[in-house]
Amino acid sequence: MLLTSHYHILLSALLCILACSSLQKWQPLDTDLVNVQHHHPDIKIQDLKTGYKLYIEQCSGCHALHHPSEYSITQWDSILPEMFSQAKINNPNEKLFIKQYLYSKTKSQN
Amino acid sequence: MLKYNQLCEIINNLYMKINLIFFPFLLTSLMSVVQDRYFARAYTSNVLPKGTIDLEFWHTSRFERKDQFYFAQDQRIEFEAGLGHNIQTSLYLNNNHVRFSESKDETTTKSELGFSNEWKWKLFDPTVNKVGFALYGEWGIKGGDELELEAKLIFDKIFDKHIYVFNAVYEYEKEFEWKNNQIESEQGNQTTEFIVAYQYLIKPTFGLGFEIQNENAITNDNIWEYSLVSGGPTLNFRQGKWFAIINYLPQWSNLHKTASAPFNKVLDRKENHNVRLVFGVNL
Repeated sequence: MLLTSHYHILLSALLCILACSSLQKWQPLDTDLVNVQHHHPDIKIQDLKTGYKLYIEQCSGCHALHHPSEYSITQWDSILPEMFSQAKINNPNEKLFIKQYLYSKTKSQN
Repeated sequence: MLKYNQLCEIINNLYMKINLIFFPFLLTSLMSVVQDRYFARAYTSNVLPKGTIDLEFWHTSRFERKDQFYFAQDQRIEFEAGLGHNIQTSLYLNNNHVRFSESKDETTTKSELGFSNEWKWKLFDPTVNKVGFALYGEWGIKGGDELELEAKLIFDKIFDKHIYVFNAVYEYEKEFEWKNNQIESEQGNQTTEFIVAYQYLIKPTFGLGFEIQNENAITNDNIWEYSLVSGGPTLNFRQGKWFAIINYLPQWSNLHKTASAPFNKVLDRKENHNVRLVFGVNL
């Protein structure tokens, strides 16, 4: 009886989670791509998606994520070198993808 | 010729000077990286970035049982590593030491060593997604005669300075005995736990919150023995590369009274007070 009720609680919780989706304000959109392409014409939407994924994976382990629009490109440029070092992100491509994602949604871009 | 006492004094002075010189450097280096853990009992969904390693020291004191002197100390050393792809693993070395009374006049002690290994897989982020979610699994051995398995569903949400957490935990313990010249075991004991936790980050380096735990023990005959609620405050200090968390968790109430646990508290097999300190350093 107890086990059955616990099973139902856990199942309900799992279903709730399956219904959850990423909040749209964080996802790379076509409008973000257009904004960032003014400065970097070669960027593709896939690059922004890769940067978005890396940003969540690499940065959320140490702190709650900041939305890119909280800072300007200049501010991100001063924050990122120290953060890359702390999170041990050494791969130049990974750094570039994360930067491009953040730039695409910064204050000045929006 | 130097006397022994003079030699000791010289060595002590030298040691203090070395400490004075190197301590500021050590402190500065420890303050260069941020690390994240908010609660002493509840788990959050976040995992370490790939290649990052944490070293954590846990100390739990459990004391006060009915009609008995009882003081238990659980100590854990944890090596935690981020593997990438939102996966993290940890190795724990566990030491459990209990002093308890068996008669009016004397106490005796019991110690057990153990090892455990946990895995955590983050599926949703607590900031980017509506709800953060991670799956957690742990296996361990204790005292050479006990196998422990644990599974957790971890839910959390971060709104600005507010952190909300819910954990659903299932534990299974099986003991083995040497009988009739062979290893024998009975069906294991099960426990389900629900943990609710909240924390407000007063500053990025200091958070104050609470943790409430509901523990349900189920015997090997599938009998629900008790449903114990405990809860108390949690303090979280973080500074650069280290963090310290302390939580006090006294028993509140037994929600499911049975013949084997008929009272408002379960003091014949659980302790009235439980204090945990976790100290972590990022390597």
